[in-house]
Amino acid sequence: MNISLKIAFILAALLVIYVVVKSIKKHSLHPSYAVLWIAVSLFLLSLAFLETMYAYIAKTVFGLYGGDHLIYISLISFLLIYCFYLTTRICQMADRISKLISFAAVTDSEVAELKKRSQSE
Amino acid sequence: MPTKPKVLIAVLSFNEAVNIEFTLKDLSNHNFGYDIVVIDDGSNDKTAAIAKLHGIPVVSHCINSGNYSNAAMTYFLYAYRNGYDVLCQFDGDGQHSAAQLKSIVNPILAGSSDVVIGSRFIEKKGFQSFFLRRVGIAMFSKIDSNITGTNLTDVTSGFRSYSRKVIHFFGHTYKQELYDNTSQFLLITHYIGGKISEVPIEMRPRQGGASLFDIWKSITFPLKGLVIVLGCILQKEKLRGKSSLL
Repeated sequence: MNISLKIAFILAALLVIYVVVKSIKKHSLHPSYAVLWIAVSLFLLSLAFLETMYAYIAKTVFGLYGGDHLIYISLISFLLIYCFYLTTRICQMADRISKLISFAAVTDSEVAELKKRSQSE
Repeated sequence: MPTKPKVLIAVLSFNEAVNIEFTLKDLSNHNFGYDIVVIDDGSNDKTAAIAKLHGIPVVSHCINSGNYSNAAMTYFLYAYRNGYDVLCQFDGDGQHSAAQLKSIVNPILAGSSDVVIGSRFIEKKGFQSFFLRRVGIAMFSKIDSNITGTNLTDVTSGFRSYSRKVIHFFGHTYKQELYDNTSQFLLITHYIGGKISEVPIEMRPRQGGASLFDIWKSITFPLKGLVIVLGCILQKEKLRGKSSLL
């Protein structure tokens, strides 16, 4: 890996950390997601500093030609797993919204009925 | 002296301003002493206002949920909280005939069923829907019939009634999401020990406006339906365990 690519990985990692910190400050990122994205930034840093370790793992553990193959496979796997995780989260959120819509609608009608009764009394 | 059972007719509507008046007039012309509530799924026309003008209580969703099951969750919750013994679903598009309400409600009152479906395919009279939809209905009716051991012909019919047991289950006990597929209600009812039956009805074509069932839904509905049926089958032991809570 040449030096410019290493610098690019380091800058990308720092950028991710910066965005995560800013998002935490604005309360736009929950701590559990922040931890995940900090882990992603550490992974980017590791690409710059632990190139030989990845090449070694790729060759000896997975029998891959180079460390870059391992990185691609890892990243694609991570993205697929994360997409699936986010899909389940979206479904959970949709379920909760549906329940809230029903509860709000019925409660609203009960409040309206109580108001009507209190006015007539 | 036994108290008179409380029966609720839940009229489902979304942007049915052109049909709701006809539906409510039909219901008031065939008043069997049942309570009526309009479940409005966040209409952006005058559906809710017209219903209120007729003196009918309206339960309005603050936003359009985009699916029928959310309206079902709302009417189960409403019926449960208000202590109804029988709940009848009635479409706001004017397709159902209020004159046939008794035939839907009576089997529940007699205690012979927990879910009664009004089927347009028993006597094959009136509006029969378009071909592709009939194929889908026939497929799911066959699947549901095999699972429940009851001969069902019109499992997607929106003209149906539920017993107190089913109201209690869906309005209180069942905490999971209900999906846009009527098979789910039937299969869950079956797994919690409920009895399902069908009675013949005659449906009319829509009185006006457009159906929510478009080409895209015609394609995705069977696929989603199969996944939902599979989900119900996988959950059957858990559901049977919950039947003891009723």
